[in-house]
Amino acid sequence: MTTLTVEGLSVHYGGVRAAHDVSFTVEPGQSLGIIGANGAGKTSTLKAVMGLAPRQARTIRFGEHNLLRAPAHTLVRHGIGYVPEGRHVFPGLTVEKNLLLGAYASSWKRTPIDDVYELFPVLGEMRGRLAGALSGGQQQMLAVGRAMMCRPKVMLLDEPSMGLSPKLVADIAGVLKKLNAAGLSILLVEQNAKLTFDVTTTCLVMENGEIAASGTSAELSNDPQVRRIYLGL
Amino acid sequence: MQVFLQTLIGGVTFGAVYALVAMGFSIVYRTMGLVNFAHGSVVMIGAYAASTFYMASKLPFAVAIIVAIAVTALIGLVIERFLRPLENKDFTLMLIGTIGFGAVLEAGAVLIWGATGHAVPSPVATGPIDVAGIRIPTYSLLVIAIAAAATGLLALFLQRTKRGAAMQAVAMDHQAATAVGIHVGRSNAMAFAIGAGLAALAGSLIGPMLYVNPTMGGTLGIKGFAAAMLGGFGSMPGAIVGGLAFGLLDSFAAGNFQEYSELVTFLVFAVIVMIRPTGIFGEATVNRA
Amino acid sequence: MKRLLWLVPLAVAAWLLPYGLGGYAIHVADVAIIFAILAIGLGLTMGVAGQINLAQVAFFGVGAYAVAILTTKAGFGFWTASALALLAAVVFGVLVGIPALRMQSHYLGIVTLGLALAFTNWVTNAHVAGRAEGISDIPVPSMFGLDLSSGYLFYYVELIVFAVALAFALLVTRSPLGRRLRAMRDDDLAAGALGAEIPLLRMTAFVLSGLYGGLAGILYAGLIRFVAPESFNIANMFLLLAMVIIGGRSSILGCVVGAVALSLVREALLDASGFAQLGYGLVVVLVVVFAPKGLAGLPGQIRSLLRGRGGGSRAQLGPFQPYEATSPAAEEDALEIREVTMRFKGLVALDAVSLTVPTGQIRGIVGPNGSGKTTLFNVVSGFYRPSQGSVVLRGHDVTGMAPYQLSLRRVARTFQNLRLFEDLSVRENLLLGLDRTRTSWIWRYPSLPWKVLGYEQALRRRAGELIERFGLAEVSDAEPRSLPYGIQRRIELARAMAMSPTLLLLDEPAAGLNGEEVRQLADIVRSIRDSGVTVIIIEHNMGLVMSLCDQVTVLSSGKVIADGQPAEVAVHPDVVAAYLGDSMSAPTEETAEAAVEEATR
Repeated sequence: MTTLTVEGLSVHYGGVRAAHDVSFTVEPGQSLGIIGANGAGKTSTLKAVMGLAPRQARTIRFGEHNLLRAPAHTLVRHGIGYVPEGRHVFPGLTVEKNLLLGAYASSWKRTPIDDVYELFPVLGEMRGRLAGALSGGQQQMLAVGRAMMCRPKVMLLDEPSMGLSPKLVADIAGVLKKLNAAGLSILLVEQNAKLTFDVTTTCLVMENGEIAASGTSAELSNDPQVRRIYLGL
Repeated sequence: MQVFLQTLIGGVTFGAVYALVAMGFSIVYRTMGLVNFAHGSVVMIGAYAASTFYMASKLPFAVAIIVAIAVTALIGLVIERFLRPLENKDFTLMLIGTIGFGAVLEAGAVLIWGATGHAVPSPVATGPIDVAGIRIPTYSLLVIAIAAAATGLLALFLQRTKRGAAMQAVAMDHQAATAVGIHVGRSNAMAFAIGAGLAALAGSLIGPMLYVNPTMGGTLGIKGFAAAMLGGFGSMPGAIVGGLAFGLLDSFAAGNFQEYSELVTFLVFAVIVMIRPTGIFGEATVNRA
Repeated sequence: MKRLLWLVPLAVAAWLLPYGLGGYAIHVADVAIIFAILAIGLGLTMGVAGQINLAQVAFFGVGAYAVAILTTKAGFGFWTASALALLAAVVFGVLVGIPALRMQSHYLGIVTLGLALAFTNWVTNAHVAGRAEGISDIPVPSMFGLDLSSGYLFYYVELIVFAVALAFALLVTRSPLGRRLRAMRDDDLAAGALGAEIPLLRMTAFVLSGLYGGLAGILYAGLIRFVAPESFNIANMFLLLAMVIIGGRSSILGCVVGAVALSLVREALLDASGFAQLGYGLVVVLVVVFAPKGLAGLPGQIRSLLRGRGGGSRAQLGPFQPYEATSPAAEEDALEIREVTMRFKGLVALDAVSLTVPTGQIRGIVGPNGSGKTTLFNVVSGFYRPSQGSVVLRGHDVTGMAPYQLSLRRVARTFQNLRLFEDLSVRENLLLGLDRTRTSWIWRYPSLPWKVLGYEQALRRRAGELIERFGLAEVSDAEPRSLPYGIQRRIELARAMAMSPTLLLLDEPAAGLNGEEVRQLADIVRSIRDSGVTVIIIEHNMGLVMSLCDQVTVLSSGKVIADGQPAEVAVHPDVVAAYLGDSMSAPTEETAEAAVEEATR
């Protein structure tokens, strides 16, 4: 089956250590969260898995595919969808083009674009608009929708709550739960612990580039250590 | 009035060529952040390749243009490959490197074709068309038509095709483009080849209007670059508008200041970009911090 | 300066050179010296100051043509005409440089190139400039009754002018002005924050360019006594560029070597000029890709290649020596921000933010990503002018002042992602912070050069003290990029303190530091505060914020959501919600106080 396995992953930018010896697995259908304060190394970890950051690791596998050898642009073909931090939609292209580019690696004749429009009706209404003209929440939906276009088996999300109002954060949580219930594995990196505990079953806590704690989301939501890391208490 | 319209037509014709040159600059700049100062010399090589082939082989002008495009696309790929280590790193060095390539191409042209240059016969035999007392050279119409067609094709490619959309995506956000499965390097090489092809097209078209010589690239390149800047560097509509605007500026300066046209053109240009450094459609990336 | 002693035998050799040369050879040498002066000018503007100036050959032309026109058409004597020509070239340099105030890099390159073309266009067509035929019959310059038409005598005139020009260029590059020019080239924002007046510095670069271009032009007119447009065309601009790039653009001596070498090569290849041009082009491309610092950079490149194999020793930081504590005379607030709003194209980054920082406090600013913390720093340090509201520094309204002005009012800052000048040594980075002069001080360079040297000596002494205090002795001559990240952070802090600020803004100073380094940082910041400096610190490491700060302000979505003692703020429900997501179980007052006690112990 297609399990995402990461073992001994380290990320260095120049002389700066961003992440050190990070290991985790995402089983099929599982939802795993990684939480931590700003600068804890969460984004670097996710980028390194995607091959978008300089990395060293013993293993990065997805099912039978060795991702350590795979160039970054081929990951999407194995069924890995990625929603980058800060959304990173293509601002000068229409909503529809953005979505279609999500299916760049496959034929544009048969894409799941209608499913995406069904999940996010607002995107359907705005399909002809430029992505740069969308609100933050709509851009976030577009970024998730774009990642769905490759019919992923696992979706990697980097801080989808950033800059969104509590209402929109709740919407995003709802969508992620729905996708997960439909069988999609989820790896969610978040600063917003509440959202993460809500969406995922298992969680890792990162601090200073290392995994400081792990457990079920229910356990961690009452763990004083989480508060210490976030608020210095 | 008549003089005005006559100048206008001349201006639009040259403007169409400048627009092609400017689009070549822009497409390369926006996809890979490379400012190609050798672009003018590529235009010159294109002019030589097309005219030489046209005059020597007696094949139709269109075939000669296609040969020229193939030749320059190859040169473009070589330049890109050579300067790749500097991409997105040291802007100044890259800029100087392309100036160096420009000198190499110019010297190469002198060695191959000699320093004196040659005149190219017009590929259209029919005389100018007379519309209400204004003489419109048929070749001007051809140039405008081809330039418009090329622009249309390029727009179609960028808007309607998967690869075109991918190229735009790379220009906007290369990391996100990688994540959706686009090979950035391949896309860049294609942008460079298209840029060089546009240069060759511009060179082929301007050959019969000017005297083809090794130093024509310098002036054409600077004017095309200035046109791109006037429109807003990296913007395709900007390149078209900037090209036409610069062509008009150029021909009205020539009409009113005769031999001092170049002086006036560049002074006006300097003043305009001082007032609005980002050009008509440009973003605010002039003063790279 | 002792490192330049090896120039003495060279100077003697240059003085004796004419004894071994024939008539034509001395002419070649004369031309080479003129190109060397031109190359120094281009090296100063492009290599040292980073201004892409492709009009240097036009400055050269203005100098030469001005002499030609003034002597043949207006009847001036050669030397009077020369003085006026020099002035003309400088004025032209300033005019061409004006666009540099608004644009940089390739934009500036194309505008200067366009203006150079405009100049050639003018001289080719203007009657007064002799049109395409040029102007001949420029009178023979004479000096003390000597007729300088002899290439040998002219050689000595040139040599003396060259020596003075070279000495002046070396003085500029090795003194505060040159350092600021190089800092501006590497990072104009950081240079501005250190007190460099960027617009004036850019114009200075073009004045220097015009000065050297004009000087070379005058000598050219006196030597050849004929000027024509093709001597000042784009092809010659490229040759000049090749000289500077091949020699090494940021090294004045490299530029000279490049100019002399290429002049000689050009002479040798006069019969094969097509191949010569091809060769220059190829060499420039190769140099750009493989030896970006040119001939002058080769020794360093080879050295680092050899050392790279050896592994290299890891540099160590020495201990920090605390400042002497002074009790602050805290009458007025160090900083007051009143209702500051900052909008970017519809996005509100700061929304009516107000806060007051009393003198001698360590104030923490925290908040989630994108909450506007760095924007606030950018407003206070003058990078942004706020859309609304005002910034008051010790009772004076400083809203909208430029970074250099605030820097001279003793506001210092560090940057989130380190903005050290990578091509300058650690010592030079600190010297930039220590140099508190206004840029208008540069009038002393031509008039009182010895004062400049004296000032430089004093700066270097103080740099030595600073290096000791921050424990940087071991790394003082290294380039920052070669050093570990923790040391680079320390250097940036030292550079900010070099400005003897009264208000210090630290943007995420602990990012990327390990536990021990964070502890040292806290000690240093406390010592800085105890010496009377007010410190504002943006930080994500909450443990550090809780233990270090006297007061904490929390921003979220551009608004202040809490302000107070660290322990109070940490339990504020809005803060908990902003960080953890809403309705998380909030920590209680007691656990908070206990934790703060623990952290500060």
